[in-house]
Amino acid sequence: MILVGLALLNTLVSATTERQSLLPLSSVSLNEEQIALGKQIYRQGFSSANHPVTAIVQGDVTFDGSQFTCINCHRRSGMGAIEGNRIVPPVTGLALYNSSDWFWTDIENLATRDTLTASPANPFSLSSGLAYRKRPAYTDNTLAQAIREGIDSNGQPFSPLMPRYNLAEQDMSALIAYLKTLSTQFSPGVTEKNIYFATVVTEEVNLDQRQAMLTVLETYFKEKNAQTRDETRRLQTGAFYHRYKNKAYRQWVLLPWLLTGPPTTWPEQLARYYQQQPVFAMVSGISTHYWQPIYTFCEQRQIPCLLPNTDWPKLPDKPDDFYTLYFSKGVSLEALAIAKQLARHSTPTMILQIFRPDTVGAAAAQMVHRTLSTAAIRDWSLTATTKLTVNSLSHQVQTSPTNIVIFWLSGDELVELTDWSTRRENSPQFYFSATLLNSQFTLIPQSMRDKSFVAHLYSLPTDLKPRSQRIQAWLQNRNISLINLKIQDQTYFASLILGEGIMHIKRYFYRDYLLDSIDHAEGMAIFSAYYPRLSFGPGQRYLAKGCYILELKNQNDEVIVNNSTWIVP
Amino acid sequence: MPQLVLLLILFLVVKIGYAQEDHSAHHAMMHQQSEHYTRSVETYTIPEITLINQEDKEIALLSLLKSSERVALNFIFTTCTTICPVMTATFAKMRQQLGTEADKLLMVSISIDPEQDTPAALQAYAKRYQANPQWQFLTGELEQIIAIQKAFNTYTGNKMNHRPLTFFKQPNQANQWIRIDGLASSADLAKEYRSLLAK
Repeated sequence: MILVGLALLNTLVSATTERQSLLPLSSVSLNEEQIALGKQIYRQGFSSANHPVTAIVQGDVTFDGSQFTCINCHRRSGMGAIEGNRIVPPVTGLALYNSSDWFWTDIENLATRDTLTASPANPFSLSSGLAYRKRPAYTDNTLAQAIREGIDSNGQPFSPLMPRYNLAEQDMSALIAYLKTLSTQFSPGVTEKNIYFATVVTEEVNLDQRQAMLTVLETYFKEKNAQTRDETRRLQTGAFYHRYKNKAYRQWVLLPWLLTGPPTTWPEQLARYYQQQPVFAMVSGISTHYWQPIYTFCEQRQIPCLLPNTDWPKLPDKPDDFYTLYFSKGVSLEALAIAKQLARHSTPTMILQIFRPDTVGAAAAQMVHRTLSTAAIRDWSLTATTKLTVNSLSHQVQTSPTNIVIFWLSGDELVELTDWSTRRENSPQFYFSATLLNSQFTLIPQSMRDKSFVAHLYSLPTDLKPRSQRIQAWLQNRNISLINLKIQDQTYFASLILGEGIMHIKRYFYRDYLLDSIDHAEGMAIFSAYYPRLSFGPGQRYLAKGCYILELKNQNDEVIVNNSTWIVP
Repeated sequence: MPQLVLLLILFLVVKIGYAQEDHSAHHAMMHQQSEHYTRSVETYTIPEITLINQEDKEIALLSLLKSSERVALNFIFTTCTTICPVMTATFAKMRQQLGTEADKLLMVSISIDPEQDTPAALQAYAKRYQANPQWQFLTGELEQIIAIQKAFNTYTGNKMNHRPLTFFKQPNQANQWIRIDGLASSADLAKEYRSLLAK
């Protein structure tokens, strides 16, 4: 499937120039203000008067545009979508101002379209049997009529699903101006022969972990290219290939971008790498530091960043943020789950949080503060010279009444606590982060275990073994050592998602379209071993939203999971 | 060699057969769509599950659905890009069109994306569609959400493949529901509801 989809491209930059020339002349003189207003209407549903635009759907249902924004269905790229058996057609200038046949099939200036028009020229899936509406090119007038009255350029009514928008002249012109700017050119990082992807590695990541990620990525890329190596040759031969199929194929090129020095210098390094060779997207990547500089770079340059190996993601803070897709909020998700769990307590909680400053643990502690704003929470920020010991912890717990202790620390910080006695009077409950413990519950001192809970955003330990059979077999068949299952599983999944996304966008190399397509990759969730419930959806930027709270128990000197609760904060 | 050719021909025939089947199914679907919807009477056994509403309150589904003889129910998810916004707006419009006839109507929208649709997400969604208090938006554990979809024969295994379905409880008929399959308009839904009241 991936191979078939990977085809469908090839027109690259030269074709882009050709396409642009097919846009009406008016598109050249669009002014920025008008486009900004059009964007506001498209994305937020607000008119020039800053009022929600109004519309009618299903014949008689009136509503305002904030309920039905254009972007909601036609997506950020304007390339539309398919959901269930419904097609949402593209609304880019190129799609609208050319005949539907041209957009889907004549884009390479081919002479005959029989094959494709006979079997519907659906850009998303030729085999799906979903028909695409045939129509001539729109003009500004027929397009305005279509948006207002729901009549297409062929005089045919739209599906009742498409709202009829009541737009004033000025707003209509602005919206149309904006549509003309959508997905007009292939994104950077694609040439006639190659499509470039980067993967970021920061220098503090140890060699084993780098190796774990890079071998999976390199192997995936190598196999992808091996499978598609003949497509360019086929272009010269069979009519089918010539017409359509292998227009999409490109050699995948992976560029590891190693970032060194302090994170403040990363943006400059990233810019330098990018200048040397622009990439279409970033895939996977690994860092133990805050992911923010890479996140910001990707937002600024509008580069998709697919599923990096990070436990410390930068959380989107602007409504328009779009380009980074994470597995989860990482340790912050564990913090949110613990906070929600504690909020359910019937008795007042008196919480002590322990962390080291400027770490992901400190960020998680902040998250608990923000979420449980009314709870009594004390922070104990360990200085570089402070070690966590039974005495120091006892002192903290006795200083002020404490019934919950949250350790935002890694397992090796707990070694001095082995003599802790939970039998002492009023021993608090202990909460830990599975991510920081690296899911090694045995690092929790035995004497604490009967009072311990772990926020665990991964598959339950008992589920991981059967769920990881696929990735383990994949690694084994390629003679790749199992170095770090989490990193290898996450990287493998990121590779699959990239493959799936590129398959769906076919020859339409727009970054926004790649992300729009991945939003619909719900069926891929089962390929993850590490995450029990990944969920995709438009605008969803974390695939894993929930987290277990595991209640531990010490049994015959072993640690077992006594109970588990799934929490979606 | 001749066997190979035969096999190839057989493969092509089967392939073309499938393609035609797909196509005709599609046309049938479009035809159905042009007539808006199909209606059937179904018997469903509602599982005893507890869901969570938009106010983060636990709701025993079976009790909720028994609490009124007038119930309209659908399945949605808040980040859906196609039919859910339309179905939700249509649901709201139906209530508006029914006026006082809808006084005792309980509306229930169950999210099929429980990992994303937290009570807070549902509350924002409800607000966007100006839902009144007699409209419950429900989410819950993934297993429960799958169970309730299976109970109403709507489960597709992938939320992106969900169909536009609306259900009305048959008053005074245990477990009987009217299943509206397709994008019915608000007037259609109001008509269906009224026909139930008339019985």
